[in-house]
This record gives sequence, C-alpha cells and structure tokens, in this order.
Amino acid sequence: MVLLNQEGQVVFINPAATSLLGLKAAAVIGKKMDGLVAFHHPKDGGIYELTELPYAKTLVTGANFKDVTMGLKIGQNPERWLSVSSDLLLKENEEIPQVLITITDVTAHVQGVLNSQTREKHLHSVISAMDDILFEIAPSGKILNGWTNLPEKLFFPLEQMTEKSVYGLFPEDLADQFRSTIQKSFRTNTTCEMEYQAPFTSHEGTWYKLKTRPISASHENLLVNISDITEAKRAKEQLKAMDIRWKFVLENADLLLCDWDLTKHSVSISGSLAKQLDLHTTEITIDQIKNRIHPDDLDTFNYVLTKCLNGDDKLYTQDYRIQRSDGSYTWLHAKSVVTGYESDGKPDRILCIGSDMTGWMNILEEVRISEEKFNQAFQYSGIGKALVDIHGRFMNVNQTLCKILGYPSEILENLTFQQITHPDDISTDLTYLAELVKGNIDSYNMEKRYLHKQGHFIWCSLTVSMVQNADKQPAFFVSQIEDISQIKRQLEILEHQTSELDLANNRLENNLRQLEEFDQIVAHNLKGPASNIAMLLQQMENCEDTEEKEQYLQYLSQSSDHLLQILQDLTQVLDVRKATVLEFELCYFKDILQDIIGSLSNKGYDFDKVKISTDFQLTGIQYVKTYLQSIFYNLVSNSLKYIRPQVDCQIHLQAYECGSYIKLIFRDNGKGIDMTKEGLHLFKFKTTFKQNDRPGVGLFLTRYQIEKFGGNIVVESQLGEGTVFTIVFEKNKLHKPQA
Amino acid sequence: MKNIRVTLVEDSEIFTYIVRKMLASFPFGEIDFQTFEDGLQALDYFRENKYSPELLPDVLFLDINMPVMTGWELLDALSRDKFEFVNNIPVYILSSSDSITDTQQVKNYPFLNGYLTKPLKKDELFRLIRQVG
Repeated sequence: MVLLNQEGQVVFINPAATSLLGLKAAAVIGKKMDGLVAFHHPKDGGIYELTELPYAKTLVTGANFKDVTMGLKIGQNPERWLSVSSDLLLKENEEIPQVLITITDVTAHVQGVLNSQTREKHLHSVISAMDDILFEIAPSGKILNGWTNLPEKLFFPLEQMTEKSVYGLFPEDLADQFRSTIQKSFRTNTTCEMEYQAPFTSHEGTWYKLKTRPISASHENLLVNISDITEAKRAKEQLKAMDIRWKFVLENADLLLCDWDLTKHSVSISGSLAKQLDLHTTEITIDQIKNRIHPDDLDTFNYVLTKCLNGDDKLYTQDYRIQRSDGSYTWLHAKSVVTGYESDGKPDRILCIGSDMTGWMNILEEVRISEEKFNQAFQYSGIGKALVDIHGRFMNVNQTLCKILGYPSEILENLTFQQITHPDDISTDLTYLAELVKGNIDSYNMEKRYLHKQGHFIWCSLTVSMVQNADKQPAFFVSQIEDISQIKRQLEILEHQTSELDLANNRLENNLRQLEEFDQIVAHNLKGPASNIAMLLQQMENCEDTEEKEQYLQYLSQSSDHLLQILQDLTQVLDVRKATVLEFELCYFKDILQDIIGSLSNKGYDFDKVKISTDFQLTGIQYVKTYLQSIFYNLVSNSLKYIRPQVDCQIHLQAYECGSYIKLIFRDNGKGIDMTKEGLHLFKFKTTFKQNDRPGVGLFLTRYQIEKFGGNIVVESQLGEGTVFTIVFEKNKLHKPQA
Repeated sequence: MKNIRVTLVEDSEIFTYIVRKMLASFPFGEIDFQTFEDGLQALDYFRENKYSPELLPDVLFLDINMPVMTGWELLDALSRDKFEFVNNIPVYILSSSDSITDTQQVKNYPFLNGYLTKPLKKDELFRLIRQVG
C-alpha cells in the first residue's frame, strides 16, 4: 500500500509494498514515485510510471482506478505482475486529497492468463492454417462461436450463424442427422462423427465430415469440426474402385500372386490361377514350390531366384513349368519384384505375379512345329523355293534352287530376282507381280529364263504367291521354281517333230490333192480333146459337105494340137513331181532375179522398156533353187506378157518378214486379170487354148512349187491397173529340205 | 408344133460345133439350139428370163469343167436361187470325166436327170431330146 500526496510524493508505504516494488521505505518517503518504478501495461504494451495512470487519472477524474494489472520491471528481476488500484482519499475538512495506491501481486494469475492467451494465439494460428471449420455449440444446438479460414466453404456467413441453432439452418433430414450426432456426443461425452453431402446447390457435390468433441469433461459445450472431404472421399472411392478392379483382375485374369516373406520363410499365394494349381489356400515354403517346378526349368528358376535374393535387379522375369495336382504341367510367365528390404539392403519381401501361358506356349509349339514342317518342306523340297522380299531380293533360298541356278545360297541371298532374270522376261514377271500386289490375282505362273552362274540361261517354271502382314500389306513373296529346260528341249523336239509331221501331212494332202487334180486333168483335159476327135471322126464319116468336112479337119487338127500340148504340159508337171531329191539352199532374191532376166532376155523380151524395182528387206530364203527360179520366171514372164499398150511396164518385187511368215510380192502395172472370170481358175491346169489365154501350166506349176513347202499364193488384180501376186512362206517349213 | 429349146453350157468350141451339127439333122422336130461358154453366162441369162418360160430351155446339158463358173457351181446357183424350171425339164451333165468324184456328185442335185460322158453319140442325144418333144 502506498499513499501519495497531491504532488505525488510518497507519504506512506507499507512493508508489503516495499517488498513488492523492491524499494526501501526510507528511500521512498517524500519522493515522487515517478522514476522509481515503471509499469508495463499489458493491454496496449505501453510503459507507464506508477503514478501516471492511477494516480493522475484518479486525481484528475476523481474516479478510482481499479484493479489495473500492470507489469513491473525492477532492475534485472524477473517480471512481476501487480494489480494496481488507486483511491482518492479526502480526509474530513481537508481540501488536499491524497491518493491511496493499493498494490497486489498477481504475477501468478497474470502468468496463467498470459499462458492462456499464448495458447489461444497458437490455437488461432493453427486454426488459420486449417482448412476446417470449427464451431462451439451449446447443448441446445446453438452456435456460440465459429472459426474458419475458408469462409467460402460456409453455407452462410459466420456472423449469421452465431447464436443460432445449428438444426434450424439445414434441411430437416440433415438437421436430424446433426441432432442425432451432436446429442450423442453430448450424451456420451465422446467424439462422434458423420459425413454428409452439401444440401445446397451452391456447394453441390461437396462432401463434409462433421466431428464433435466435448471441449472438456467440465465444459458443457461441444467443439464441432467440419472438414471438406470431397477429395478424400473421391480418392477413397477411386481407391475402392481400384481395389475392386484389382480384385477382379486377380480373381479372373488367371493370375498367381506370391507374396514371399523372407523373414518368415513362407510364401503366401493367392489369385485364381493359384486355385487352378491347388496352391490357393496354402502358405508354403519356397522349397515346396521348387518341388513342383519342372526339372528342366529348375536351374533357371534357381538362377533367377538367386539373383533376386542378391538384389541384383529390381524386376525379374522368367518362364517355367509348375506341376498341377494331376501331374500335368502349367507354363507360368512370372514377374517378381522386391517389395521390402532389410536394414542391410538385402530383400526381405518379394512379390511375384505369374500368368498361365500354357496356351501361348502350346501355340508357340504349334508354330515351331509348323515352322519346322515349313523348313523341312522348304529346305528339302525337290522344287527350287525362295522367299523374296517386296523389292525382289532373295531372303531365303533352298538347296534345290541353288543347284538349279548354280549359286551358293550366300550369294543368291544377296541378289534380286531382277538381276538374274532374262531381259526379255523381266517385264512380264514384274507385270504379274504388280497384279499380285494389287490383289487382282492370288498367284501367277510363268515360264522364264534365269541367268545361271555359269552365264547361260535356264528355262524355269515360276509360281509366285504373296504373304501379307497383319495390316494386309505385302510382306514377302513365295517363289517356286522348277527347272524345265529339259522339258523345253523335249518340247522343242516334239514341236519340231510335230512340225515335221504337219509338213508330211501337208505334203500328203498336197499329193492327194494333186493326184485328184491330176485325175481331173486326165478326166477332163485329156479326155476332152480325145472325145472331140472321136466325135469329129464320127461326124466326118457321114458328112458329104466339103466345107463342113474341112471344118471337121481343122477341128481335128486343133484337137490333136490341144491333146499334144496337154501331154507336153503333163510331162512337164510329171517331171517336176518326179524330182525326188530337192536340196534346200540359201537363195538370194537378187541373184535369182538376175538369172531369170537373163533367161527372159534370151527369149526375146526387151528389158530396156521395163522398169524392175526391188525392196528386198530379206535378202533371201532357204529354198529349192530351181523351184524359186521357176516361180520368179513364171511370175515375171506373166507380167511381161500382159503389158498394157502405151504404158511403160513396171515390175516391183518385195520381200520381208512378217511374224512367222515371209512374204514375197510381185506387182506389175499390166493389163490385169478379170478376177470374176479367171480368178478361181487362174492356178488350175488349163483345158482350153484360146487366143490371149493365160499360159496353161505356168501358174499351175508355180502354185505347186509354192504349196510343196507349205506356202501359199494369192492374186489381186484390177483390169487395166495391174496385178499383185503375193507368196507367203511359213518360216518353220523352210528350215529343212523336203523329200 | 413348138420348137424344142436345147441349151448347152460348154466351153469347148469344137464340142459345141459338133453338137450343133448333130442337132441340125434332128428328125423329130425343130430345135432352137442355145449355147453358153461358161456357167456364169448361162446363169445371167436364166436370171434375166426367170419369168419368161418360153425363153427358158426345154432340155439342159451342162459341161463340168469350165472357166469362170463350172457346171457344179451353176447347179448350186440354180438351187440356191430356186429356179423352178430345172424341176420341170431334163437336166444332164455332159462331161469327158468319168471319175467317181464327179459321178457321185450327181446325188446332190435331185433335179438332175443323168450324167453323160463324152464322146456323145448322136442317137443318145436324139433319144434324150425326143423324150421332151
């Protein structure tokens, strides 16, 4: 207790005060308190003299200064908290007031309060860092206080909620749930919680968790914590869905899951495949598993297992067979991963997932067998076979093909088919190949020539088909190649023999036709004049008319001449026919033309007025020279005989090849032939001999000499314009002499 | 009495002359002797006078081996063009050929009445013509 006068001088100080203030009474009495002690005001943090506030205020206002708690600092002493009160004392009949300052040590109390404030501050900072909403709720459901760092998460502004019943703010259903949870928490004095979805569209889809907690056993209110669990709930749902998927996969994907705890030396097995292998309920040791591994796979299994245990890699893959209870084996494709390690880095937990690949292995086996079969069929086929890439390169060739073409496989497999195909065959081959690639044909077959390693060409029969990849694009070609050179040679021989046979047939037919023709000649041409003679003689017997008799005699003479001419012609024909040795030789057209010009000049033809031109694209042919000379002679003389008056005679000879034929053409600008009258009988043996008639046997013999070797002669003519004789020889019938 | 039209298609001038001389002494009626040098000449004439029966032959003799158009070709043309008159008159082949090829061919022409071989006897000629008269 300190008593101050109006000037603020200490009038009295009791021992308790001196003790509290750390002063000595003697040093204080009569002195102002200011400067002796300073107080720290806890609320505004200011430093005040002891007298300043309570004293001055009390003095000025006359009001007492009650229970102001102030901190006191005394030198290095620890801070002490004092409660300071001041009263204005007016003694009776005294006008000078005094101020009584009462000082109480409230350090313990203030420290408690300060600690509480610190905690509250800390709590605020915690709350401000939280995304949750906190409410203090009375048992009635009234919201007493609320805190949130995220006001947007509130359905209503915080100030609107304070002092209101939590149950009245929400739809009835949700309010009931709140009531139930909160009341349970109140009733049981325990923590309760519930989850709910935002009942308002403003927060649609948001999930919340409400958690109630009694503030303390003695405190009747509840602390309600509301947190947004939307993300957590979604994550939980995703996790749940994932869990369902994994369960589904594990149960249905024919998988085997082994969880090997090395510390326990046991393997926990699950998965539907485990059921099939009778492993699903058993927790077995690794040795028991080893006992079921196929002996052929055990070394590999142990090798991988050792690597796994040594921690060499993190992921291990291997295929092995494991025995079922019925003794059969199932192929497993296993992947293992180390999931846990001991402190020294050694694996202590390994997870292994195995899938049944028996079906796949069976397919692989079938493929292997199929490939083996193909390889056997390919490599040991009697037919040359090759796999050819889409650019034409031989990818694989078999020994037969190497033998056919004379190349070792390593050389052939560096060549393209184009490089060893005869130039004349490449176009056809590529055309077919293009059709194959387009899908217009499934395969093609052709005969072609391959270049043998020794430089000659081999005739082969080629069959090509195409293999497509999964995208239906050409992958490669399969070529089958057979050496047909022997067959080709035999065919050539056969063709030659057939040709010979054709020629023989032709010859026979010619002979037969000529015999018939000869028969006709004899029947008509010989008998005609002979019968005329007989009839003329018969008529003459009874004829008395001299003039008539003379006519008969003239006709007899004519008939006799006719008969003789026919006999001469026939003799000529027979002479030609009876020639049995006919030697073919190379006959040059120009030489023959020169020869017959000489002969015809000797017979009186004047070649000065005749223009003979030639266009011999072919210099000559293999033929019987006397025949060809006769042909030239008859056709040229024919042109010379029928020259148009006042027109210079022009004869043009032409020879050229036309496919498998040779054409020899005689063209003149003479009188021409009335084809209507003479066309059909031009090359026949003549029966009548009238003036200006064509020679009887010349064209007949020409035709014979041409047809003898399979040739043909035709005539085109226009009266007054000229005549064209076209002779066509077949090349393949000229290569060998005919008997 | 109507003259008998005897038509001969023959390229031999001598044979035609002889037949003409033979027919000049035909005692059973008047003969109109008509000749053609080849089958085409005869065919042209028949076509021109197809609808004039009086100008068509009463008896027809054909040689076989003639230029331009043979006797067989003329018969083919007559059949093809459906000349009715050949069905109503005697038609004979008159040839020096006695080959079986020619004689067998007669069967192909139903309207042919016979195949005569040269030399032709006057009596035979008269007998055939008399049948018409």
